[in-house]
Amino acid sequence: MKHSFIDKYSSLESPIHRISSSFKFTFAFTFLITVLLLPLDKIEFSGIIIAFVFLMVFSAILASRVPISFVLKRSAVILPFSVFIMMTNFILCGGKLEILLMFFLKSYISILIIILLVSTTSFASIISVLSRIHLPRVFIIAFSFMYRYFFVLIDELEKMLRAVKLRSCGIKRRRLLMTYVHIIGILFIRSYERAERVYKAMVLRGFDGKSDNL
Amino acid sequence: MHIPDGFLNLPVILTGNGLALGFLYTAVKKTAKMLPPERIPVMGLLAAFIFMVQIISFPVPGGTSVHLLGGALVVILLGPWTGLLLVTASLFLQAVLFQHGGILTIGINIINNAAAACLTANIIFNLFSKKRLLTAAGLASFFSVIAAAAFCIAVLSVGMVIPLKLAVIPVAAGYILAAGLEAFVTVMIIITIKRIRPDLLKLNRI
Repeated sequence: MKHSFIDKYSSLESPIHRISSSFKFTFAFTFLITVLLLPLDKIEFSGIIIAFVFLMVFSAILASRVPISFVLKRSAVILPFSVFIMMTNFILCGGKLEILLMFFLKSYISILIIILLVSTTSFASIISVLSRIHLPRVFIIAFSFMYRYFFVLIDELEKMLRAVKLRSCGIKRRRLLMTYVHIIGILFIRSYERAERVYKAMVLRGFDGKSDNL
Repeated sequence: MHIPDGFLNLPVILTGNGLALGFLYTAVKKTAKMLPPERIPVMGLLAAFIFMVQIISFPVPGGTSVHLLGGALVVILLGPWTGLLLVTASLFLQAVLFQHGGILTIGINIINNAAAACLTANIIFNLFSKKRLLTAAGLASFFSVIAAAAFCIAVLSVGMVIPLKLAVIPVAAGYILAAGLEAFVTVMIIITIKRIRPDLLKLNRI
C-alpha cells in the first residue's frame, strides 16, 4: 500500500524546491516573526506589510508548482477555530471589523508560510536542519522513527479495520465501538512488539545505543 | 486544542516557549541519564503510535473536533518524562505536517498538551496506582485532558490578541466529554494490555 499524504509535494522539481533547506527555514521564520509582530490596530502599516508578505508567499507557491487547491485545503484547518474566535469577539466584546480582519489575515498568512515551507522541503532535510540546530538526539530519533513507522502502523490499522468490516455485518453498534477501542489497544501492543524486534535487528547491525546515524 | 500562529501576543508566546524549553530540557536530561538502549526504538515507535492516535479525530458539535491525547497512556506505561517527550514530538509533527497548531506557538501547545497533561497524569496515577490500577489510569487520563484544556483556556484568556472574556467557558464544557472519552479508551487499552502483555505494565517508568 502506498501512503504519500505526509510530504506529498516535497519531491516536485521547481526553483523553490532547489533552494537550500536552511535558507528556507530562516526565511520562513523571519516572515512568521514579522507577521507575529505586526500591530493589529495600525491598519495601514500592518496592511502594507501583510500584502507584501502575501505577495511573496503567493508567488513562491505558484513557482513551486504545489497545487493551489492543496494549499487551500490544508490551510482550511484553522478556519473553524479562527471564525469561532472572531464571532465570539464580535458578538460578546464588540470587536471592530478591521481589527478582526487583520487578526484573520495574520493567522492565515502564518499558516500559508508553513505550508509553503513543508511542501517544498523533504522530511529528511527538515530532520537534517533540526539536527544541525542541535535539537536533542532523542527528538531526532523520535522523528525519524515516526516518519518511517507511521506508514507501517497505518497499514496495520487499515488491515485490522478491513477485517472488522468484513466480519461485522449486522453487529450491534455498541459492540462495534468496543471492537474499535480494542483495536487501538492491539495496535499499541503491536507497536511495542515491533519496537522490540527493531531493537534486536539494530543490535545485530552494530547499534550500541550511542551512534547518531539512524 | 492546538493554538495556531497569529492568535497570541508576544509576551505570552515568549514566556510559553521559555517554559516549554525548561520542561523539555529537564525531560531530555532525565531520559538521557536513565534510558536503557532498548527503549530507544520503543520511544520511536510509540511516538508514531501517539501521532497516529492523535490524527484520528472525532467531530464534535460546534464545528471543531477532538482527538485522543494519548499522553496519559504513555505516562502510565513508560513514565512522565518519556510521555512529555513523545507528545511533544507528535505535536511538533502535527504543527509541521498538518498545520494543527502554529510554529511560533509550539511552546504554548507543548505546555498545554504535553507538560500539563503528562505531569498531571503522573501525579494522579502515582496517587492511586498502588490500590487500583484501572481507577488510577482512568482518573489520570481524565484529568490529563482537563488540565490541558484548563491551561489552554487560561492561555487564551490571558494572551489573545483580541479579547475573549468568558466566551471560552462553553468550550470548556466540551472538553469534559473529550476527557471522558480519553479515560474510557485509556482504561480499555490498559485492560487489553493486561490481558495480552501484562509485563508491559511493569516497565521501569522514567
